[in-house]
Amino acid sequence: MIKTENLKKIYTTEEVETTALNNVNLDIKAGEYVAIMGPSGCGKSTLLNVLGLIDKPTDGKYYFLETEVSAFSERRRANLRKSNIGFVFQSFNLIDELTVFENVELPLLYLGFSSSDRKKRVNDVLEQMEIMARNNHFPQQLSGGQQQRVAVARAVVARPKLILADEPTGNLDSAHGEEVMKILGELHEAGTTIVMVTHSPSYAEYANRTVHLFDGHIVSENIQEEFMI
Amino acid sequence: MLKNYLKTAFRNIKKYKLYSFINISGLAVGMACCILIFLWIQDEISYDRFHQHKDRLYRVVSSLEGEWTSTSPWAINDVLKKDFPEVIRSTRFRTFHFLTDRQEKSHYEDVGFVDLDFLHMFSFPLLRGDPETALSSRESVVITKEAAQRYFKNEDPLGKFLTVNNSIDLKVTGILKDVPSNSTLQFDMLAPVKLLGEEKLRTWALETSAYVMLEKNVSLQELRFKISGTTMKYDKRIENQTVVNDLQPISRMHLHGLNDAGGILYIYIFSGIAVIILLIACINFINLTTAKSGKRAVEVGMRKVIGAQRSHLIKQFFGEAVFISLVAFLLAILLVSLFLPSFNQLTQKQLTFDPVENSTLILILLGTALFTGIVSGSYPALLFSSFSPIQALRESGSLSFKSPVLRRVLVIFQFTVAVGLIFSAIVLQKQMTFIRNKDLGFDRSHVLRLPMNKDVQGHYQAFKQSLVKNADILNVTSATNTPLSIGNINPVYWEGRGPDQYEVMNFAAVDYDYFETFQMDLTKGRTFSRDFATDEKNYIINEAAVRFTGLGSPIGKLFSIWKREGRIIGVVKDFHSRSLHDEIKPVVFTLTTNWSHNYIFVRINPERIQPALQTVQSSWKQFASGYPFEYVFLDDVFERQYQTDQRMGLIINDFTLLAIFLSCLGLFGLASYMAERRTKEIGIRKVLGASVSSVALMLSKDFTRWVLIANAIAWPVAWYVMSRWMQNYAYRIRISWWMFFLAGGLALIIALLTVGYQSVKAATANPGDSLRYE
Repeated sequence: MIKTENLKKIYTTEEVETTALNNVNLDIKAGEYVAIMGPSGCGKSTLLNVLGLIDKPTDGKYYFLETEVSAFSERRRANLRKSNIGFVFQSFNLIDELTVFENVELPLLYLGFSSSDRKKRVNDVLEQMEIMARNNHFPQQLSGGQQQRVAVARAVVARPKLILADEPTGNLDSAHGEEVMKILGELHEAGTTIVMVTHSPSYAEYANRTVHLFDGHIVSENIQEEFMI
Repeated sequence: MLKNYLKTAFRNIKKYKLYSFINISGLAVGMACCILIFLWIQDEISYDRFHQHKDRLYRVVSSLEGEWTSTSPWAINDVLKKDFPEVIRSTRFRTFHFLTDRQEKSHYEDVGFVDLDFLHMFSFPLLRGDPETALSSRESVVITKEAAQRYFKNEDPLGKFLTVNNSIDLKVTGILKDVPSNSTLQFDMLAPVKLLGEEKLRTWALETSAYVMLEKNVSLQELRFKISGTTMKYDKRIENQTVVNDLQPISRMHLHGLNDAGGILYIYIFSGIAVIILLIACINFINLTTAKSGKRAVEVGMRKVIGAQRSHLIKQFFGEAVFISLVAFLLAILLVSLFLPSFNQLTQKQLTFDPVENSTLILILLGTALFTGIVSGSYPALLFSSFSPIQALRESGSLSFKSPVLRRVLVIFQFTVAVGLIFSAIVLQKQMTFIRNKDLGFDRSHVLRLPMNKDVQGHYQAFKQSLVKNADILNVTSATNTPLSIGNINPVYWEGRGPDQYEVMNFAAVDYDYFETFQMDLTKGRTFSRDFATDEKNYIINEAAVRFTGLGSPIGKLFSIWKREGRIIGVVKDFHSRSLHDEIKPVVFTLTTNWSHNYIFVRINPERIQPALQTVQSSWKQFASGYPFEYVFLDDVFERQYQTDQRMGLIINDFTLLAIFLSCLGLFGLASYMAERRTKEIGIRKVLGASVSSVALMLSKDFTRWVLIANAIAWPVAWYVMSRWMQNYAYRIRISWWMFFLAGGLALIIALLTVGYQSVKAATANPGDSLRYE
């Protein structure tokens, strides 16, 4: 599903060049659950952004669904994103002016779903995330855990093939963190490909593969024992 | 999706109440101004366009030595019709202010004397009567519905008689629809011009206005060329002068002066003001919307991550701006209905606001709303949609840093306009005061002006005697003109010049005591005197005329108007014989003792105004019992000369205040935003020991700098514009440096007061709260 060849990302400011990703070669098959770990500033989030098509690599090749997309225009990338990728962020990034229902509904609006389809899908996913009772609330009226469940609901409502989660538990206490990890686990079992950035070794254990990044390089990859064949 | 956009827009309006209030109310006020100004302009340009044949109707105008006048000779109509087949109809139009009586009711009416063609040329429809025959009988009159009400109430006016000017009974033969206010031709009644006497109508005296209607599809250029020499050909008095006849489309009469720009200048000025005010409101919108862009960054970023194209976001933010401008627009309509009565009072018009009747208005209104939405939405829409998703999500707080240059430019622009407008208002104000207090070279205070009529004319000497023997009456005289406006022009000759060496000069025919009544000083010679029987042939000229003629010692020199030869007996000190727009012109006075003057002037004792008025009134009753006693003070006549200037000055003042208010509103919003954005910085500074004043100073510094830059731009521009404007006045104040500093200082003070409130509020806040805010 995902394949990168010598992926490079360099940030240039007036005085310094920072290499965030340096020759990253990564291969992720459909249905895999990959955790990306590493110290702050090693390029984890940059890698996730490039994989999620919300950032362009400086160099190298990126095959998404067998297509080389590194040179795609913003327009084509937006189209790929909306039908294939769901995002979950550490800071939830819910839109304050929209209710729970409306936040979750948004991806379906951009995909052009009919009103009745949207309603059904959103209600289903809110049931699944157990926040149906809150569907008319605004984000500020929810706890952090509830907000992240709304964000996950929004990420999965369009049934994307790939979910990218950038420290989804970073702003949550451990109980709420466990809850979110459980939901991601269930999605993976249902067949969704998941790539998650995390600091926490224990949450990384939910994944079937862990990629360690240091200074923009992949320094090691290990497959969880229970997933070894 | 539209619903989603609307919801987002609506909730954003609700959430940021101060910004939304400033945005919406600012745009509403801006649009309301535009609508009011548009209504005014629409009325101004509608003048004389309601005539069905407007494209074929022309006013005959003439120039005497390059100076254009709209008065025409009586005889020109018949000649034009006879000589040029292209001219199919023609009419003279001359109004007199005549006393009109029926039974006990008597009023002064404007009676227009016209030819038979008049009712066929112009669209003044008859409600009763036949346009073919209404004015064919010599002693007939058609009256407006309004005038009919005054004399006939519920009776049928047709066939009944009105006594006009205490001398002739005219039979009412038609009722006209009331004359619209946007008609240059204004009258209460129309009577056949031949009533004035066939003899008079054959003369070439420039005393009437004349109109022609042309055949369809006539080559105007060719015709104008052909008629240009008509007066020269027929007026036997002319030998070596240059008189040119020309045609002016009637639709141009109201706004286009013959010798200067005319009212069209105000159309340009007010259009400019409307656009500027709307721009200021749009700038507020752009500034405030982009300033709080950081607050929308998460939304923009997330919408993009989810898959929104740039075009989706552009559409969304444009839509939002148009939505807000439509809300503002509804508010603007409310404001217009609310303020139209006071605007009418200000402009002396009867404008109505009726979008249903006025289809152009609907288009303009919708256009204004859309224009405002698009202009004010364009920059925010392009800016927001250009955020890259990661950037938007990561730097949500600081994204608004992206547009400080533009914002600075826009605020500076607003203040440039404000400084410019304040400066213009100061200069206009000074000029108006200057005019009011200017020594005109004669004394206009406590002088009454009475209309001359047949009765007084017959007993003028006795009337004058009865007045001057009273101690409250200081002087009495009569003349064709007040010294305020001497405009008639005639060819003059003087000693040492041949018959082809004439010049044109303004002249007035006066009674004895004219110069005494107006307290005009003579620098040489004497005034007209009963002791010299030949004075009726003699002349008094002003100093400008002495310079103009180059007569070294003018007294006793031969002088003539139209070859009526006499001698110069006196030189009067220069005085302003026209409005202060014009330079002092050469003027010549003649004495006429048949009293066929237009006015009687009475100087009264300023200490005893009421008794003096009573004296004049009782004499009037004795000698002119057929006419009501009506008088005006010359001071009021003078004020009226500058009424347009003064009214325009008032309107410009009002709109200046509005523009400044709108700029401040925007500044207030911007300052509150900047204080809010720097809350954390202020907290840290205060924890580290900064004082309230140093924080307030820090926050006000930027704005002060911007206002100073605005001054630097505004001063030269405003100076240039106002200098050009002042060239309209031959007599004007000097623009001096303090006006610049006053305008700049006012703008700075207003800005600092606006910003100061926010700055002090932020600076005095508890640092703990400031830090917790983040």
